[in-house]
Amino acid sequence: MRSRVFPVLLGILMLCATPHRLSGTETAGTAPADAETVAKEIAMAEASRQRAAEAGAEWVDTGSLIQQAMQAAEVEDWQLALELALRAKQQGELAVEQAARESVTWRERVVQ
Amino acid sequence: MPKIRQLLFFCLCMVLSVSALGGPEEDRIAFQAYFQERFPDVPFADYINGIYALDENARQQWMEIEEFPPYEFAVEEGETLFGQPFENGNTYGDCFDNQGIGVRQNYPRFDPERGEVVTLEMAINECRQRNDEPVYSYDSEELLSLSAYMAWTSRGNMISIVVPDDPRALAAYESGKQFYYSKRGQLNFACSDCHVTSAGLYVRADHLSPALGHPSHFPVYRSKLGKMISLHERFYGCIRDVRAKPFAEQSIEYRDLEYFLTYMSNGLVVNGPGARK
Repeated sequence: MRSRVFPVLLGILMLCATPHRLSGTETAGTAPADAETVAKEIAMAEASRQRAAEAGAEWVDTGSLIQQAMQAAEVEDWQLALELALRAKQQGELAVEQAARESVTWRERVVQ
Repeated sequence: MPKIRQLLFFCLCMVLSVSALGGPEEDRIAFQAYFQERFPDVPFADYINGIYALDENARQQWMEIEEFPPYEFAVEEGETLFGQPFENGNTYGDCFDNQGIGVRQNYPRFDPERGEVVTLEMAINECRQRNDEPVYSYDSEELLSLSAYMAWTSRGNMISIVVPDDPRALAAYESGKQFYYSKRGQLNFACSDCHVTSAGLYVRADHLSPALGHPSHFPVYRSKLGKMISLHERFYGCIRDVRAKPFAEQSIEYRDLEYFLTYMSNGLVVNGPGARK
């Protein structure tokens, strides 16, 4: 009895843990992909990219990801547009963090 | 008596902190000593040959390439261009010390009037501007040929970069130094991670070249691209390779970087133009 129940429970738990991936309409832990959300996320990604650029630390394809997100939004592929915008936003944030960290830690690498 | 001790202790702390911060000359001495300690069998003068100072197999191949140097055409074209007077009758030679012959070792230099670093390629274009000629694109064949010819006439001259006693010059040097040692891009690499810490180690199938001597041989003919490239184009490629957005050639960032990096090679000689894979 016990040996039959365990796999069934495990299967239920796995299904509960992955509804977003299966539905294909949302990225895990984020708002649903619609025109309004996408526009907001693209604007946030661009602001994040600009902050990284001002710090001289922009990553190579952040701008390209934003462009691709805008193109996906034009053809109303909201899911793809959202994913691209979120990736771009994260890149911008990580680049700003990197620049802030390096403004202090670079000295540790100087040959003494 | 305790006051004298305190004073002596304070002086000692000041000396130690200043040496830890490091001025350009302290940096250069430490930088060169690092490589000489790391690769004790490599003669100091051989660092002008980049990775070929460390990798014997690659050196043999390179020496065979040097028998018919692929940069020779650029030197010849540069010599022709250099000798052609502008429309107004002036020449490139009129814009440079010693008529532009054997001056590569003094670039990049700090221009006190403008308060910024001027590279040789920039000086060539500014010479054209002053003589009412259109400027060349920094990756153009013409500009690289002129730079190659001027490097050729400077072969054997000792790199002699000066950081004058001017806070703006020191700031430019420090900015280049910070750039060199700062991690950037999605791969989170600093220039120094590859060319100082990991110099001589493999990156995929190639050895990483040592930073010491890097600027001595530019511009170089890159076989994989089939053309001459400037030091700034190489910077561009490296920055892109660590997945950071590259700066434009002759940007203030790359000029300051060239200033720092070339200062580190003071004492070596110019052997440009060069040939690389």
